[in-house]
Amino acid sequence: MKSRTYLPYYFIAPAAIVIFGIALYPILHTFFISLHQINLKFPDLGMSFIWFENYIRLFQDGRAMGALFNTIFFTVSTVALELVFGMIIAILMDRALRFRGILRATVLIPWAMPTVVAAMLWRWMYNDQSGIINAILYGTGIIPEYIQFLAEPALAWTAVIVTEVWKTTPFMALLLLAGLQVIPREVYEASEIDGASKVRTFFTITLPLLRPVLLVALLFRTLDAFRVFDVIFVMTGGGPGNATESLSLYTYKTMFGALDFGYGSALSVLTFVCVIIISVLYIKFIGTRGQQ
Amino acid sequence: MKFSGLIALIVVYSLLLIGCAEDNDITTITFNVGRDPTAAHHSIIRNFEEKHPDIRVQVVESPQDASLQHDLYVTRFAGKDASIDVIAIDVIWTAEFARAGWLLPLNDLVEELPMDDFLPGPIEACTYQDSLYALPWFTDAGLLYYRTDLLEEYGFDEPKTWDELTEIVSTIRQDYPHLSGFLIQAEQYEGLITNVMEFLWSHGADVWDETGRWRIATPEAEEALQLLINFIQVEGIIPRGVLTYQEEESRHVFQDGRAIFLRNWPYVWELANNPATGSNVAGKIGIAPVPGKEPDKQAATLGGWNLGISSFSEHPEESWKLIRFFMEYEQMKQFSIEGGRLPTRISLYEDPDILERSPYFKDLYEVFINARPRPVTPHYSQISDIMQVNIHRALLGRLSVREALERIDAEVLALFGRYGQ
Repeated sequence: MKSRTYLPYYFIAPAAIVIFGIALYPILHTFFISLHQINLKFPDLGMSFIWFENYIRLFQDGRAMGALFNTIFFTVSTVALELVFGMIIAILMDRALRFRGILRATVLIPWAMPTVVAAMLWRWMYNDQSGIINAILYGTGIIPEYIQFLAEPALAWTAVIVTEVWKTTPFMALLLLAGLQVIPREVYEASEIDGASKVRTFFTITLPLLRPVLLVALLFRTLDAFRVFDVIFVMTGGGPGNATESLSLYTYKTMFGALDFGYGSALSVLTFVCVIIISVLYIKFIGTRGQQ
Repeated sequence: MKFSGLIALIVVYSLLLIGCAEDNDITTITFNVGRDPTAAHHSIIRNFEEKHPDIRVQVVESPQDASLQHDLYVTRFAGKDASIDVIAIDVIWTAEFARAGWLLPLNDLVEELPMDDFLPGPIEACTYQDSLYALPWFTDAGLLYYRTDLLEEYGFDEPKTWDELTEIVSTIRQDYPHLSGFLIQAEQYEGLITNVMEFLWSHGADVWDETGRWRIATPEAEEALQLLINFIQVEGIIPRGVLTYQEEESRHVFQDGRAIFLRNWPYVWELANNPATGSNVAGKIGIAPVPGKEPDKQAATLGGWNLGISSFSEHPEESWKLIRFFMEYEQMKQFSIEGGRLPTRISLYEDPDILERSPYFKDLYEVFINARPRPVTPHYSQISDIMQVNIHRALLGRLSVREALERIDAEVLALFGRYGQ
């Protein structure tokens, strides 16, 4: 009988080894490289162990800290907006009994588009002379002259956030819709009989019952938003005046532009640590309360 | 059934072995190049294979985007990938790849070629610490495009100085306030540096001092950058939108007929002169060198691609044969005629067949003989990044010109301090 208890482990072992090999090992190796000075452009200088010097440099590097701040700002603002719009769309789709299939397919279009293509599309729409946004605003007389959306830090941020929200709200909406549909109708009927208002019903019934789905949706979107690269890379390249540079973009420039793999790895580790913190916080604050 | 399957397998494998055995005296080399829509190199490679039946060339195409190609090559070189033989590299990577030891020096080999016939700028871009690591395949340089109809209407000649350009723009815009004056590429990206270098050089400024040390914060550079900022922020000679423009955005505005001047690469000429591409200015445009502070200071930033041999190549001799073939007069001529690319050999700018296809090459020669490479250093990509960030901030008005230049110096010197110049 005893041998049986070991059996499951044998079955799990291959998967565990694969996960270790493709997930854990690269992370550990990146951390190992981040303790070295190594630049691929200078193979003759080799790879010298420098303890935590890259990390000291990182915290003194205004650009890295700026990129971290930008990334947090981007993550918070996009995820918050996606949550609000995603929820509204999900509730509307939940109510709509007719055309639900078509509606769902239509809503999904931005999500189905590759991010780089979508970002390129929006980049042209924001163009000051040939962009449709300026054409509409100017044509209707709302603005007296063309606006250079991507040339002002605040406007560029708005433009990038709008693009990201447009692109990823469908994902949020679909996950929330799935959550809404498993809430039993009887609960709503009961609250209606009790005389609860629509708003009250939403906050005391819909939201708590949606919590597990909400956790998954928010976690996915937050982690995804924190890694943001493509939208910013295509739309602004980190500009204007480096105002929209994200951590991933700076890491990319350090690794592949400058070929400074030591420092670039330290930046990657910073991203990884942030992602871990975000996950832990989510699971702690939303996850456990959801189980009550 | 099982038995016959086994026999079939053996047969297939022995055929494969025979196939390999036959190929033994044929060497296959790879030609690594970014995707080129004109694909003009394919027919030249076919001719090469006919002349050298013992060499087969496999073309390995990578994405058209230059920075993606850079990432791809870096990854492969870092892994000491022996499958790269001949490689096409952007002029700005040559020093970097040479310093990393990824390219073979070609000093002894090039004696087989008439080196005096090559344009000096592209050769300088191929040279790192007095050794030649590549040869220029085709070239490119910044040009000034202008609207001949508008300039003629007001009786202006093409501008040779920034003052003349300012005067032309101011005069014409009094009657056509909706026209943009002068378009450049000033997004935070590599193209910004190509434009800024032209402004610097046209004021007699440079990034190296007389002793070859890095120093960009000079009065001349300050004057140059201040002029650029005045053009954008004060005088409206350059529209503010250029802060978001790359080559294609500026080309579209110009060929829609909404600007008087455009600084861009030679590729714009054929597109803007072709009504089929939706151009409104076909037949109404001219080209000239980018203006200078004085007429004799006109400068152009060099672009273009070089051919080199990977240090990890197992077939350097065959690779050299291919590069030499591309550098010969006939092949470069064919490449220019079929692909519209600008040759790097001086004598080709007088070739009647080339001039018949592209008569404007004659005007370009003056620009190309003077075109200068961006700083030739293995640190170039990082220096460019530092310059992009600080100059773009200055263009936005968030840093003064002097502050921006001094920050560039400080950051570049810190970089040199870390790895040596």
